[in-house]
Amino acid sequence: MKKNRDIVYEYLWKESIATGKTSWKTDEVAEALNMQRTNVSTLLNELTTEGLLIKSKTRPVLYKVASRTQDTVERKPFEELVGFDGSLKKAVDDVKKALMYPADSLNIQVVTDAGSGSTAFCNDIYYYGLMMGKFGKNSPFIYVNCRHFNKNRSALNDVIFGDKSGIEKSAFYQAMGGVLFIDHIELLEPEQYSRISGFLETGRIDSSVDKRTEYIKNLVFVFTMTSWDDEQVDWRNTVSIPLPRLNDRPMKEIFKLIKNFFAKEAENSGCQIKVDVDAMRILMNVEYPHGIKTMVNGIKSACANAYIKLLDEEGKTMYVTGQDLPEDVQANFRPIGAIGAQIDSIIGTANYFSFGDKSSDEGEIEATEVYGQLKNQYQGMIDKGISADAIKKVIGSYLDNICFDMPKNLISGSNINIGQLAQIVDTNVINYVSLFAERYKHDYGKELSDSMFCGLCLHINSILKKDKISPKRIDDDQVRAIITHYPKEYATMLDFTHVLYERFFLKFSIEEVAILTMYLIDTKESDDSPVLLYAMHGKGVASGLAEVANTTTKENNAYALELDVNEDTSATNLALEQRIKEVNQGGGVVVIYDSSSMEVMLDSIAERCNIKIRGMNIPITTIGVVASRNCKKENDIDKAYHGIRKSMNHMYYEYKRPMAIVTLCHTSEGGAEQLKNYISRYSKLEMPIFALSMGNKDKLIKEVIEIKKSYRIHAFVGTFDPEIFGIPFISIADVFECSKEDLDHVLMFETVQRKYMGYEKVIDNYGKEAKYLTAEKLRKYVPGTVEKLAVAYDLDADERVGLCAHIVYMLDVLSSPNYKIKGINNSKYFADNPTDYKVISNYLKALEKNFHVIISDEEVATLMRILKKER
Amino acid sequence: MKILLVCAGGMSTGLLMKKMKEYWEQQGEELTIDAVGLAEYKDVFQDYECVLVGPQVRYKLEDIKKDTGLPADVVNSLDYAVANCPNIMKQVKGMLAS
Repeated sequence: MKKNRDIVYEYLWKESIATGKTSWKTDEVAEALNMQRTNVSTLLNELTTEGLLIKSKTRPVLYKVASRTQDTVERKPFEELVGFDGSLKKAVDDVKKALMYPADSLNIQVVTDAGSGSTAFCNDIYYYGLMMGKFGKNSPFIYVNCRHFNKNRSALNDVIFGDKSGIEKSAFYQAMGGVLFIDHIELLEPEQYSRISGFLETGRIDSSVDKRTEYIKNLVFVFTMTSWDDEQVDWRNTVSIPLPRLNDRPMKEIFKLIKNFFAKEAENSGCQIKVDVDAMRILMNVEYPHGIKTMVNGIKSACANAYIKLLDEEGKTMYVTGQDLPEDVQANFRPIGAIGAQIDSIIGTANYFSFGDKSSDEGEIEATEVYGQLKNQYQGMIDKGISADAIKKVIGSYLDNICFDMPKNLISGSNINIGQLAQIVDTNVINYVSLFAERYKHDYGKELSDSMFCGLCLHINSILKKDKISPKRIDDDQVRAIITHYPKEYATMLDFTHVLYERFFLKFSIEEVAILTMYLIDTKESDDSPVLLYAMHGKGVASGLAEVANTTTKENNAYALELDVNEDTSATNLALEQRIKEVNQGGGVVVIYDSSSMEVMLDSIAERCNIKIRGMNIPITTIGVVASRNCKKENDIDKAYHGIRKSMNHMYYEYKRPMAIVTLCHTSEGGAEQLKNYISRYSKLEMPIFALSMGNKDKLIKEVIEIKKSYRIHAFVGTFDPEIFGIPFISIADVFECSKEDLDHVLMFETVQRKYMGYEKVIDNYGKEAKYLTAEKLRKYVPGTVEKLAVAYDLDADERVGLCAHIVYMLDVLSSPNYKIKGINNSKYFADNPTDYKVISNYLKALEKNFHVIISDEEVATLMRILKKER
Repeated sequence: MKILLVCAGGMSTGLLMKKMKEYWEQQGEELTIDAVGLAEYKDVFQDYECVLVGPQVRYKLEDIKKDTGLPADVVNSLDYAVANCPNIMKQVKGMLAS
């Protein structure tokens, strides 16, 4: 994958040799390479920072290729690295000595933690070699970053060891006479490791296609290895140079690094930056988990936040405060302690630190793409009428993502056949989508499904092939909905499109980013799960609530419908229907609403649109209106409060309907009818009772909905809890276990002394003897299961006690670490009694869960025999 | 006294057996007692004088009586629940006496 930076550098370098031209303006390069001017400007600045180009101090700015000869090199290798004379001194001295050792070839391993500045250090190895004449003029410098090949290992193999066309194409071969720099060698696969190891031992590499081996002469082979898990490989014939962790470096160096990065941002943004002392203190005393990368990201993010404020105010100077630093930086702020005085002594008494004083350059410097993108997105979203809060959320998340570097140890397994995909999709696209997938997995803990991965590759590829943005396919409402409901996903995608822009010059509109975001939204389990819809009156109420639910759960399945308080019923009905249709993913919609009038609407929408809808009336806005009126009416707070409570009681009273009981039976309504007769005969509650069958759940739900229109269902009473509408369930066992006199207590969920007191006695007796379980736990969980089994299989009192003893003992035995399965095959028995097996196993699940045991098939078979009273 | 205890898998009668042994010993009575599951009693009953059946398999009582020809009875469930050995001893003595 040749990066744009390399393309630009190669062009300038070749041109300088071919034509003798020494300096270029940004426009000239942009035109020659058919690239965007702003993009080229960024790349030229990067190359200047890396020392490959020299930037004039004139206007217009001119760039020239830094000479690689000893006499004219203007860059002083290593000396521009912060800490070259401090914490890096030993590393610099060691590497210089190694380089100057008179040998044909040399292997250098740089051992670092993530983000310790190894890339810059390794680049300088090359420049130092050039400066000292170790390498000749125009000697090669080949850079391979293993991280860029996460999902495409065979491509990495081809790059390092050569493809089918031969060993000559290998990085090793091509770097002869110069430097081969392989970054993040720890990401190589074992076979690749072994080939590298072979090279270090013999100086030869094997061909990928035949048995040929090639001796690699005059090569300085530099590689970095992150020392995670303290695991270090002892490579042969290799000089090992450790670099200190960022947080282990002296405060002075950290301060200098921070200042350098702010200065760079001032240059990138074309603005003056003023950093307040608090922000500086925080940045100096933060634990940076990914070293310099975290620091740079923190600073970039803070600057971009400040830039957004600037857009609001149309000012020219960005003010960076502690508040602008991203949350992860603030969260890693270490206790000040003794270090506070040290920080103070370094930063002095200034209130602000200024960067990029551009009084003389005003108007000359353009904002680089990051800032340009921020500006465009900000304006675009404002134009689309997206709320300020939603914009802030998107921008905030975007800033968190701003650096597209992957954590190293996240290589996902995928079943995708990259080779096949590569036949129709540009491999570079696949590589970038792979990187993105890793990032997404890291940030959201979710895999981009294989189908979404392929979809994204194909989508981007189609845009790339047409070389233009695909036409707008979603309307502004959808764009607004995506940005409002999926700000993080949108920001992640925005960040990715920025990467795509840098690599492929593909420019994405807000609509296009929203379309791409849909790939992420679709990766959420679209398995017909129900979704939540808040339908509330007032601006921002519903969206605020949905946002809280989504932010907290990260499920992103809560939606909002904001209703105008002045809207009439038919408009509300229409809006409700439309929104429910939009958000329903096949599993139905739970609607939380604030006005009783919506209940009827929901019922009719459910019927009309054939969508499962479950409504919940939470009249929070009405309560607010009542409360406001009462507060206005009363001078005394207690009177106002009393009035509010009274109205609320009234409000709830209004919603109350008469209570009813529904009796249920598994198969037919016959059993339910009997239960109904029993209850109506002995209960004095005088609740209407409806007998229904549980045979068909959909039918049952429809019947229950009908009953609910006139009654509030107090409870289901029956053999099995249908678990619908949050209606409480009373087991038929409870009804028949108690005396007829106690029936109403059971129906009103009051505790009644059970007829079968044997359980407690069994548990008291056996629980004391149990070796692995406590009587308390047994008492809590066993009787319920025994009771269910006893009811299902019509056991009498004696049999119940025996069953209870058996189960208690069984659980204790199963909890023993020495429990061994006897190995009796019961499969035929289970096959002959499938329903019993299913029912009993189902009841036993609760025991397995609560006692953390697996009830073996042997034990299930024994229980089945007891319950079926087999002779 | 030689008693065979029968329950579903010979599992829960294990504890009762232990407690009965202790009680019989305290009473200075000799006791040979073993617990077996439903699948095994037919193979071993010959060595015992009577059979006690766990309440959870009381439905098997008649079969057991028929198969073994020994005096057999279901342990009273509450006695079984709390391992009330004095009552069980009375029950066994009653069985053997009749």
